[in-house]
Amino acid sequence: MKKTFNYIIMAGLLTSMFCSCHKLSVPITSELTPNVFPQDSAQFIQAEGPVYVALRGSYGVEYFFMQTLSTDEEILPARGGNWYNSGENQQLHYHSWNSGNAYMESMWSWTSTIIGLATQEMALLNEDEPSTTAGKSTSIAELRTVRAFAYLMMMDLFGNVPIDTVSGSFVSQPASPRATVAAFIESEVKAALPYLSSTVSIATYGRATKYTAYALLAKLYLNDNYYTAGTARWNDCIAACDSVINSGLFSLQPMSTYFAQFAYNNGPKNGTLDPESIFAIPENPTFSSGPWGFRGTNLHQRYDLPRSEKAKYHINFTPSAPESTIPSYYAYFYDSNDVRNNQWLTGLQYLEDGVTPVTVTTTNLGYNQFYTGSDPSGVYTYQVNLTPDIILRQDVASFDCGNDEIAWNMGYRCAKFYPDSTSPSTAMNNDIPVFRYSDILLEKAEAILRGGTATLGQSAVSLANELRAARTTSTAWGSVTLDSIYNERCREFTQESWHRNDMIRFGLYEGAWGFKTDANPQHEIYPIPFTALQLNTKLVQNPGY
Amino acid sequence: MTAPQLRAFLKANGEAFSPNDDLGANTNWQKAIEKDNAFSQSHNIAISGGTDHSDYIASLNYANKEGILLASSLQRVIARLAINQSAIKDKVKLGLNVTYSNSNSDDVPYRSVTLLQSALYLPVSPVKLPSGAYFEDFTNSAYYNPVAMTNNSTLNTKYSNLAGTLTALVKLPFSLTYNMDLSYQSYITNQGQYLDSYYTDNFNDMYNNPNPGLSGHSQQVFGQGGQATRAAYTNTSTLFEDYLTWDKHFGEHHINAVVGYSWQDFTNNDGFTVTTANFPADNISFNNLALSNPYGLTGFDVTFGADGLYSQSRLISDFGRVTYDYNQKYLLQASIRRDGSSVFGADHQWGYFPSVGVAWRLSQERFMLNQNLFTDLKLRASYGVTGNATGFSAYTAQSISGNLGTYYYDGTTTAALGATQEANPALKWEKTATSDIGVDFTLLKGKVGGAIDVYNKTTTGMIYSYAVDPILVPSGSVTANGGSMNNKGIELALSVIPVATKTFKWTSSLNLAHNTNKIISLKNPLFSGGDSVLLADPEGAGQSGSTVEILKSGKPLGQFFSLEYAGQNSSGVSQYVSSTGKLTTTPTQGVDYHYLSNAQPKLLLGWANNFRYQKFDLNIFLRGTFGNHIFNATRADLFRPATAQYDNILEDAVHETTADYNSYLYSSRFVESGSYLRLDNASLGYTLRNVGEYIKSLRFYVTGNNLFVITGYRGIDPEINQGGLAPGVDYNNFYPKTRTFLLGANISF
Repeated sequence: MKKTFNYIIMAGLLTSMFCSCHKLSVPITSELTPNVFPQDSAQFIQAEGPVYVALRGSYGVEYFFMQTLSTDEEILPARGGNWYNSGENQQLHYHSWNSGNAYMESMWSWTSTIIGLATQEMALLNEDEPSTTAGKSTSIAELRTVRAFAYLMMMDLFGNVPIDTVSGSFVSQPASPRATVAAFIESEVKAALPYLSSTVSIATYGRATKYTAYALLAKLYLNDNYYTAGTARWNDCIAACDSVINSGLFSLQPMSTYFAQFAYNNGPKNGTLDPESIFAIPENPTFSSGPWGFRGTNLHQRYDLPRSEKAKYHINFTPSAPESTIPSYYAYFYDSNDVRNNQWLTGLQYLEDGVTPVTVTTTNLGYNQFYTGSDPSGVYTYQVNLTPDIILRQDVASFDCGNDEIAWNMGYRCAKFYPDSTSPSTAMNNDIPVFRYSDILLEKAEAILRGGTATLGQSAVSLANELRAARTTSTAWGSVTLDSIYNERCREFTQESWHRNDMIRFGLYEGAWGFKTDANPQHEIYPIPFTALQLNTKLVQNPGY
Repeated sequence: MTAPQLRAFLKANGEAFSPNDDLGANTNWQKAIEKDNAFSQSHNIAISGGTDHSDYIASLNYANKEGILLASSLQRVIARLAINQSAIKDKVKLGLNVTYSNSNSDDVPYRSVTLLQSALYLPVSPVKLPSGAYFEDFTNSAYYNPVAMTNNSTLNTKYSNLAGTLTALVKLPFSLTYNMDLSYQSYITNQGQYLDSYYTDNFNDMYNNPNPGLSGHSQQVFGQGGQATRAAYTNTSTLFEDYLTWDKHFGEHHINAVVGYSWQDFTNNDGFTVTTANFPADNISFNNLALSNPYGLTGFDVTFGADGLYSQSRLISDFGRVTYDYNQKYLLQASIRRDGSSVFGADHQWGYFPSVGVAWRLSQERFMLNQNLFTDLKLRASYGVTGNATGFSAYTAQSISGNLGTYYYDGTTTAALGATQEANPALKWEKTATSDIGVDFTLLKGKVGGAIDVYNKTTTGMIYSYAVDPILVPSGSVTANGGSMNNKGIELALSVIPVATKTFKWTSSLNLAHNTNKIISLKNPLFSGGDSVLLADPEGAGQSGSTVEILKSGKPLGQFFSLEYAGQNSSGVSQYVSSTGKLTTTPTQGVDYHYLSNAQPKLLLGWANNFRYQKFDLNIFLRGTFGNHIFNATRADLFRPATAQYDNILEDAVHETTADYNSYLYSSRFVESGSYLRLDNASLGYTLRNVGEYIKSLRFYVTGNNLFVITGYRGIDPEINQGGLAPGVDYNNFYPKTRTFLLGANISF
């Protein structure tokens, strides 16, 4: 009996030990795992968001620097060591950058992140969103177009880039030749086109429509000759422009309200869309840019406004003011009847009434750091007078104008994006245009001049004059050359991040301006940053670096 | 420097303080935030008793320590109860063990910022103005009166820990024993921090100063009118374990076999943090958040601490072990564990971890019987593999979405949510294989004993966050198994009784350890982004982004990688060796870096001595580390003669000139030997036995801690963080090292 009892206990114990619980799954109740997010239509809209946040992330500041500070449009010298930033802005001006320049790193990872996010979100929507959901295929096509745009920027900056389209893959791809990338972008946009919305409204603002796709194709075709080294696609460019023109949804902003489309209440904020806006990056000081931080906004008022004009513009911070144009670019603004001249702050400065001088009170030494007189701390009050030239008075090697009033007043300043007095911070409410109707008109004119066939009864000169009629009261042009189209683009697209692309396409990027004399055509393509080469070992550094 | 020293230094360099700062004071700011003396006390009461079938012990300990900094203190209560009970003719033993501890500590918020300020603040400024207001000079950037910081803020942390264990042992037939343990632990933290209105209104936008590592400092945005933070979290763990033991002798043969099962469940960070601001009065502190008015502030949001703290995980194991010995002469042990953890990818949760060991006790052999030297001599060899499932988030293998900003969608500001962590379903156990050969010996009838071990330890499949091309993984990283690391070393433990007479006895034990650490690889077949990672950025003023260490294959952890100092040029400016070997005064971060020495020590020493003479006893413990180097970033940050008008500098920067704008750059100049020998603890006691009728024994003692340090290191203390991925960087290490003396009495009734 006792023995039997023992056996029963033993058997019971052994059973309990070896048949015990081996269940390791622990329910996750505190995180957004794929089981709970995204599952409904509101969540799918939230899940599309990261790609748009990322696109905004560096478009307004660092991408602008890459496309602008490397040209004659803007320069960002140091002021007494401030803004020297390891020489990154100096290198953009001199074309002396290398793969260690921090902008290379941020641009490569920025465009890569937009692409990676779009791929991930497209897969997510494709797999998880019920096919019955209205607009599912449109949402996916929008993401696909944004991804193609990111590829256009990445390929334009870096040349050969890897084509990655598989979500969840950890396998890096080698870089594809630039021409292959261009063909890929074209096929992607064409694949998205049938599903994109043809409505241009508040509901689609900030996302890709059919016309965003056509504008993107027009830009691609116009540069195709450069990107693919050979095949010219002027008629394709013209056809893409015509698709935008024929929609009848866009028109030129009249001269009287030209600057409204760049103002703090541009875009849908004033109730109606800007007639020229085909695709824009919506900005708002209250947006959170997540990992992109404070530069994920429009910061032109921080970089461009003179420090002395805080009161004039009623802004709520003192601008930093290192950025200006140089005389050779300002020279394009020679037509005194052109409304676009008003984007510049030049010479003696007055308050809004146009009469009261903007004055600064400082010391003799504060005005001029090289003051050698007997009273360095003597009070000195003067009217702000912006001077056209950038002079590296303090130190040429470190790209430094000095840190005094004279230095801070160097360079004509661009206030095309009118300062935003409604913002509590440096971030502006002014949306940043990517594709505008005026660009479509000038692209078509350029394509015709380069050998394309005129359509719709329009000619290069009629297209140019159509735009000029909305910008200047001077008489219309009788004829037009590629040179005059380039000059018109300089006037029209200041601070819209297309100037590097334009200079290269017009063969002017190897010229000399400012302090820059470099003429190495290899510098049309930026170097692949060090970390990218480390993360993707299949990449090969671009020639010349 | 003191005020006269700094004044003389500036004068010699043709410079002067700003009249805003120079109010003719001579303030020692480090002393100003410290107490002159801090007192501590500790009391312990224990009672115990029992019968033939049961016993119990209960104790209560109370300690109160004052910290050296103003406003810092710690109080702790620990209560213990243990009961054992036997039943059924002692075949069943039950035990219950409950411990409760509770501590309450006060500290200074942003302590490392406060300490840094106390080192930087100019001595010519007074703590307070004649009006009674604190002296401040906000024209000097990142410059805050450290006494005002200390006196206008509070940080209180309470911990309570409850641990209960129930054990059962059942003696069964057939030489079997069954054991079962059930334990539960709950650890609760409750923290409150208040920055009063003076603090939030004056010190807004300051940067915090975390320890160097992979992440940097960040700007602190305070809500005006006083800001309070409360954080309350509970960690609980539950363990069930049972095992069956079979222990049997067959003549000279002895076998002991165990099979068992264990189940553990952990819930961590169950709780919340909340930060609010704008209080009607400062004395409310963090005690009544409902009185705050955060919505009356623009640009301030109530915040809830970090995302993704809560986690739950489970660890389940099956294990078996067999030991066999023949006459205690030949010993063999083999074991295997099958461990499962919920933290890994679904198909990789289980791992097998075997171990095997053999030993040969030579002293039992017949040929050793005729010698007197060795009392005991044993040779050992073992090999075993262990697994690691800790050190990373419980949900690391999962895809997790989080906030990635906001964006415009159809006229509204919409949240953007996306993957903040990529799924890695292949995440599996990190394994460490250890081989060990050792010898244990006892000589001269127990007067000398010791052990020597030589080991080789290789960790493979190291779990690490790999940087990944964002075109593949937009969050930019994946936590995966990859790298491997090796530790080889030798350890010696020796204990000797040099003198043992009836009245005097001296026992001495010495531990020596030498270890060589090397990173073998930091790559994963898919992810190349783990190698050559620059890390440890002390973020000193003017050199944000200047890292001082590198993680690289072939190098040890704690490899310094920084500028190489090459003296001063003809203009008296510090110059450095560039990447091409030329000398430069404008070195580039990350590019002009060189491999310097590393933080790994060559020798660790511990030496304990115990002397007993009649009723006196004396314990002395010495500790030392030799051959390691320390990157003294703290010293570099205070070695800026060019800004001596605005920030204080070290006394030994007196021979520098203000023309040297480069002197403070992190470089080989600030790599120092970290060797030291410390008299860690000495205790002298006097014991009286059978004092009177009721007192069994009475012991008085005096103990001193940290009595002296012999070191050439110029920082406050060579004993700095030696763990983690970035060991050996002395950063913001200003916490004053204290020497403590303790008087005490033990009474037994």
